[in-house]
Amino acid sequence: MAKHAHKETTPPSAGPKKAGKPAGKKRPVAAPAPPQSPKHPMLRWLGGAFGFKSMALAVVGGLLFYGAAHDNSGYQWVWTNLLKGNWDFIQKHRKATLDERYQMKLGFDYVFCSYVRDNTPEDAVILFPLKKYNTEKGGDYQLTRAINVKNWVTHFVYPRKALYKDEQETNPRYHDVTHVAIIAGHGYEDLDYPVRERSYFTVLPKKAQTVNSE
Amino acid sequence: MIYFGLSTTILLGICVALSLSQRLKLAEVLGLAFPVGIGLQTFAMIFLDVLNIRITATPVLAVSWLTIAGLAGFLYFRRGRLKEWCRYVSRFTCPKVSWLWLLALLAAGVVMVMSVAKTMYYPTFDTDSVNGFNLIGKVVAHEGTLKSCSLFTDPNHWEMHGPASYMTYVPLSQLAYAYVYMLGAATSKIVNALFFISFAVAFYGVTSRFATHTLTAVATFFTLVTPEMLAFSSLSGTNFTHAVYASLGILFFVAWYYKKIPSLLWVSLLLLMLNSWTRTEGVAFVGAACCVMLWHGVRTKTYKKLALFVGLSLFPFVFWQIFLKAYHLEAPLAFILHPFWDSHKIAVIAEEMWKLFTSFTLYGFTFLWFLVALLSNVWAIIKKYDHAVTLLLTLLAWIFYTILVYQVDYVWDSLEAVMRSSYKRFLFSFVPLLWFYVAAGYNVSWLFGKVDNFLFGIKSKKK
Repeated sequence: MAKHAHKETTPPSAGPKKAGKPAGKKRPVAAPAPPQSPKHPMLRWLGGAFGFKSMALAVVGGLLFYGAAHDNSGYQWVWTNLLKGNWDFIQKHRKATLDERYQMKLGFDYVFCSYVRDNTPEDAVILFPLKKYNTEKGGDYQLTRAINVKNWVTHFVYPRKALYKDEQETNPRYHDVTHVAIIAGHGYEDLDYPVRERSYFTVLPKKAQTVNSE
Repeated sequence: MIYFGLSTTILLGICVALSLSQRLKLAEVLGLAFPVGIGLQTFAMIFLDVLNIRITATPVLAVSWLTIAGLAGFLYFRRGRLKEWCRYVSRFTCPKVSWLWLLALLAAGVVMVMSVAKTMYYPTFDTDSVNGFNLIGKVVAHEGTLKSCSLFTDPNHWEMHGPASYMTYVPLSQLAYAYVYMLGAATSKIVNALFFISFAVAFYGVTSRFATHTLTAVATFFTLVTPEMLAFSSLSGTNFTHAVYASLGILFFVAWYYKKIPSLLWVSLLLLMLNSWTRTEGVAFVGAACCVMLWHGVRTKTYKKLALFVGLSLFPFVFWQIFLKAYHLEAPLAFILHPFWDSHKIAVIAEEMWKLFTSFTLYGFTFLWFLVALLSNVWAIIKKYDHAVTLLLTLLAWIFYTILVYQVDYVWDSLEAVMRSSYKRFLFSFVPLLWFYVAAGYNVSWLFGKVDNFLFGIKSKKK
């Protein structure tokens, strides 16, 4: 199209060779047309960027990657589990609260720690049973080894303080204990009062509390 | 409050980046804004702590806004630096893009959106963050101090003074989390999300200095989708954050060296400083940069610049050691200071390293493509020193870090476990460097140059 237009505007007689020849009658010589690109620069750019060749290249590139990644367990895991799996899950549970999201990841350990947090004052010092008992099963529930890591528990009960019965001889805070965490039925022996109705997992004040009735 | 605080951080980062260099691309400025802003705010927080000023949102924001005002004035009045940058950016020409560019960018965008959604959805749950980084951030936000934080001073937390304690970790991540908690955030995950987005944008910006846009988009996509790194980018650990600072620091150093833009050296310096403010072993990257700087400084006799670079790049590391000593936040040194020979240790390191390098599951095609690019470029490296400095920096940083791992006395864990966790994650810092080399190296660049010619121009140019 562009070439055709070029031929139309510059007749063969007006070429530079013929212009140089002496002519009997002086004919008006058309100025040499500036070198024209076949298309508008923007169109040319768009043609290059999003034309057929570019599309073919993208298809080839995409297929090459797909073919290679399909056999790669890492990329497969990225797509199916890490990205798509999580994306689908998130869309399904969009309205989950922060507590529920913690529970999804940390399970009963978080449920128990948040229960301890919600049922003790901020300045509480909470005694946890001996570490060897903390992963025992209590009824239908069982905590994991995470409960035996003081920093892990502190993350969820802060600013309350947590310590273990294992530290009886070494931790100067041991005498400041205000509450006892009951895990899998262990810990009742550290209370200063007897408890009749016992549950497997709870938190109780170390000393018996007097209830002020008005 | 959280939006105001984060906007302040980003604005601070933009002002600092532009003050350091007026030759930064728009993508680089936008990508560096958050990492630079939050990094400097953590420096401000520690200085407030040293001055016995309680670390709360008000003084941190006040210091940030004072700095922003000062730098904005500097940019506006002093030699028209802002105008200079605007002129530089306005010289923007339509990049040679293609469907492949669009496809790679779209794929990178999808990865980014899905990963950020995951990051933001789940609160902090990974063990290292719950036990350490995020916990310290939470406590600092509540108590307003790091040096006298109850986790470090209360006898109840005596285990914090054991070897490899979280207390001795340089505090960038912890204080960044503290900052968002101070601003009222329920979780600190916004920090990780912003680091991920910023990294993608900045990596694209700096790589596009060396490669075509199509190639840059492909390299960015492959970097982001590296399986293990992508998985860790949504956690609150410090490894991905460190990878952002270390890799960008080295890449800006490379850009300074090859593109001969003096101001990029200072951008690189700041990023390398923040790298060793995120993880102590980041000194491996600082050491590598200092070695190249020493060689360059001696060759060009620019001793003042050399001294400034070496001095400032080591400052965060030295400052932190002094801080720990001054406030008695000490833990037993697990580092063996004298040289020694342990063939068993070397064998274990070599064996585990080989497993990591050949793992497609962890790093995808990263090491394979790097090897292919390296082998195909051997001629160009020998004859033209093509990206010799990039390779040297990568190699030196890797050697220095491996020596660090060798010199540590692992009393708290087995060497195998350390190699499979710490070492594996430290390699994240190299992933962007390797993909950068694949993209910027001689042969792949030549190939994609041909692709661009095929798509855009060789036919019309001949006409």
